[in-house]
Amino acid sequence: MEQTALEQVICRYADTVYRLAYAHMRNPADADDVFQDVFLKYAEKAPAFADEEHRKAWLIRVTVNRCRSHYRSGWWKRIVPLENAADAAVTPPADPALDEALNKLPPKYRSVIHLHYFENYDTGEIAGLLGLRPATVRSQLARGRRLLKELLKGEHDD
Amino acid sequence: MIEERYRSMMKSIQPGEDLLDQTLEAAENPSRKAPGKLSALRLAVGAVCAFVLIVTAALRLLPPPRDVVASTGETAAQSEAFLPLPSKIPSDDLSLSVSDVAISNENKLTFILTLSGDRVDSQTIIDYEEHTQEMPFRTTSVVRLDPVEGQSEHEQRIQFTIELQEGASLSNLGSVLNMAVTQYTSGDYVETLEPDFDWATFPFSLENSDCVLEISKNSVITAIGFSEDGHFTVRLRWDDMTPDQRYSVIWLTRSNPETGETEEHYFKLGRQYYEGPIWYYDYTFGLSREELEGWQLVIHTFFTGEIIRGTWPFMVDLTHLISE
Repeated sequence: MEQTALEQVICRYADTVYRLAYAHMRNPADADDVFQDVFLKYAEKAPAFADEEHRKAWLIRVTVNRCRSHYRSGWWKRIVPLENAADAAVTPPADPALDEALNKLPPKYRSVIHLHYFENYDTGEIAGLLGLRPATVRSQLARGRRLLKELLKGEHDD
Repeated sequence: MIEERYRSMMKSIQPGEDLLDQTLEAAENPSRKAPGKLSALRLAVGAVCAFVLIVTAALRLLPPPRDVVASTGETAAQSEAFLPLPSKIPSDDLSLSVSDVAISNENKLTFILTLSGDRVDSQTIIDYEEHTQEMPFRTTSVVRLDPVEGQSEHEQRIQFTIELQEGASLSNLGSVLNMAVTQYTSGDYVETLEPDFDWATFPFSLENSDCVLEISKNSVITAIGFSEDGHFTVRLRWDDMTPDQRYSVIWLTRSNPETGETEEHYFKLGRQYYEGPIWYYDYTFGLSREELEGWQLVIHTFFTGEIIRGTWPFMVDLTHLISE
């Protein structure tokens, strides 16, 4: 793959991949790792796509898979979050209450919510991207939204 | 609106420029492993500056990445081949099914997941999605079962054991049981699937149920006896239960006091019974009186835990129960 072509792809989809990775992993260090994994895989495989939507879908799918693999890794399972240290090292979130609620949201809901809220995919499209049944996506989206509302209850009239 | 707040917050999330540079550099030089955790702390500013210089030099000096790909053993023709979008394998290629569902007397749910299809063989590795985080469930074991006689070589069986903990609810259980399975068939080609199994066929409803699992005793059992056709039956008083609790499942364990042999039995038939203003529910097991005589019985319900224990005929005070 031409380096310039790779650069173009990274520039074009950097935000999409990084935000999805961050939405799922909920910390910049892991999002960085997933981001690199995805584009290294892209460079290694040199995939050809039917169109840009296909390319984007591939990147989204691989990002979610990498996030899931990350959770399964022995390292991730053994870590204990150092919340105070993280607070000191990371820029405070723009919306602390929502950020805290998202941290408490089970990981399986995060990608679905992000793809729907931020990338504007409908549940059928998300199902195709993640290889899930549309009913499962609808269920996860509904539960995730309900849980978010509950977590934010009292904080705001959402 | 939460949605708008989410969008607004995520817009501020962006990869750092150094991350883009590092990724480009690592892509060009695969032998240099990309940095690991805590990338923000990994590299000092000076190192980043030097790194950028290296990237610039590398861009001029190194052969194009296609050669790098070829050096890993992949041919140019392969790298140009149309790579299919990683997606769900068509259902006619691969199927998942669930069988042997059981709940043990230690509140452990077990079931066997069977993966079959032309592309499945003994080398296929099956992983699963841990959907039990932050839920009152814990996957205690995932065991690949040895092939049994007559089993197709294109079939693999895995036994899952999930521990149900206090506070578990049936709605959460539904989430767990809808677990996805990720199959690594060839290298990093990843597929995510879901068991093709209708959990509603298991003798409790997962729909509209949100009952809380309480590992405690209560007095909802009102009768133990035999049905008209002679099968062991336990009667529960429905009016003492919330509508969700009525979706409970009841089972018993039968142990031979001499040999220690233990069996689990689930109810075969459930019937509503109305008496005055009170609704009851009769759960009938496929066991006759003769099959119970002398055996130690423990009767459980899913939401109350163990509700009665004794050797049949029960030598405990059952005066509050309506015997046959």
